[in-house]
Amino acid sequence: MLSVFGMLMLFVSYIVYAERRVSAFIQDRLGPNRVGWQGLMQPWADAIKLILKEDIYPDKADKFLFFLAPFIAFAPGLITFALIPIGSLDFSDPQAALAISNINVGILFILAIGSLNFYGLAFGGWASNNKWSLFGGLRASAQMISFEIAMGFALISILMTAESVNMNSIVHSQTGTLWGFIPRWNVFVQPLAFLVFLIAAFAENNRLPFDMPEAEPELVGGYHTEYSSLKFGLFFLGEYAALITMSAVIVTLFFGGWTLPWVSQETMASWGWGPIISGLFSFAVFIVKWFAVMFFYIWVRWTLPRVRYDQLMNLGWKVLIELAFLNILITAAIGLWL
Amino acid sequence: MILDALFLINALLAVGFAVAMITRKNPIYSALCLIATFFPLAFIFLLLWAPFVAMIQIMVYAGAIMVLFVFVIMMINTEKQELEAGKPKWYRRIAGAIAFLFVIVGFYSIVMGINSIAPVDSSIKEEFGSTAALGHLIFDKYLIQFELVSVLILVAVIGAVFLAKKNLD
Repeated sequence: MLSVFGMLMLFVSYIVYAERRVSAFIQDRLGPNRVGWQGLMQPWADAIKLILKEDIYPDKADKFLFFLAPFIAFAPGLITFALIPIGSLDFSDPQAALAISNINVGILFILAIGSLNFYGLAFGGWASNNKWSLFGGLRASAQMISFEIAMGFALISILMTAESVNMNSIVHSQTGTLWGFIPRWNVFVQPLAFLVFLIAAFAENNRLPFDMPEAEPELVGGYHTEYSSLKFGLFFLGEYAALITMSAVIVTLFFGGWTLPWVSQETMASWGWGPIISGLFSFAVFIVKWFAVMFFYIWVRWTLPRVRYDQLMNLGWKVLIELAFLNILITAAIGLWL
Repeated sequence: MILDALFLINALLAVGFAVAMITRKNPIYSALCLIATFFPLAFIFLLLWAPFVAMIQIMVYAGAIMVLFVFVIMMINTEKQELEAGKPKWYRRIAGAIAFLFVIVGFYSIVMGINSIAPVDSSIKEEFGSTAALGHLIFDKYLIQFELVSVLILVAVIGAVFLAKKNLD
């Protein structure tokens, strides 16, 4: 468990570095390349800088909530990662997942806990006693609750195809092929659900083009305007931890998790590998897909402009939820008559 | 034994946060305490072999309903007009007495309930309380009741939209 935590923290610091390098590449700049070889020590330098900065409490801030908010924002992204099957110890046993916890209501747990980091942003914005911060917090709450609905409904059709809410069973339902040549991943079985889920996931993580809660030109820094030092660091890391976990969720739900495309479960089981080799191999497969999704996140951020707030709300309530409903209907009809 | 201890801890936490909720002056802290109450409650559902209900408890109450509460509290910002305690009126005293009675009943049922929670015996099947079992109950056995409740909620939603519209015009 500690090793997974360590791995996540390493990933979190290096995805910030990756984001800066990729953004620089996209904008034809260099990006951080001075600290260490190719700037690989940059995250450590950033961490030391954050730790050494002065920790400021605004005069009229609500001290307790101001202290508590970064932790609430930080924790859910890490907690929910415990449910994600990042590999398999035994290809023949559907439940031998390489995950910290394999519970029967896995995806529900991820939704339930994942929705809590909203409180970090809202309380942080409120406790700072700053108009911009409060605005950022309010926007965060409105945005998250709107897109959570679309996300949940998009998920329902996935659960209908997988016929389970256990993360590992969902992975196993995606092995094999469709019509013999397409991998039976949910992204191909449920393209509409994938689209809705992806857009909602971007909004949930406050990523561009939906980063209303901290829109710099309008709100200075949004909910974390007043934060400094490690508390700001926690907000920052929490955002990226949520991004990393959400990428892992997307891989698990839509890209077949740790399974290989085109290779059926029986074939993999017939190789007869021991738990260590199976675990390492499946984790490697998972990590390739995982990094691809994370790269996609960064790519989108530096490609699309920010949408306006009312456009965002219209998209959430008037388009995505309806599409998700339609998808549930279609899935149900196909499941019933085919 | 462990189950008893877990139940007791969570029950006390739930009651403690609930008491904290009604004694806070600042409404945002009340909301925070109410959110904190849901977690021990969800845990108690887990102890009762109902993981689905436990997750829904957090998802719906902590994840959605309280979000709206917090949203409204932050919008109206009652902190400025500090709620005056004032001298208790007679009905407040009665309400207080009744509430105190409920607290006693609550503690009594916690203490007595320890012996009757979550019997760990073979009478509980593994599927009990699972998502599938619950789905079968709702959509097979209690379908009519479920549909009636849905219609009721729909009526409430339409009513809310109607009232909101009237104020806008």
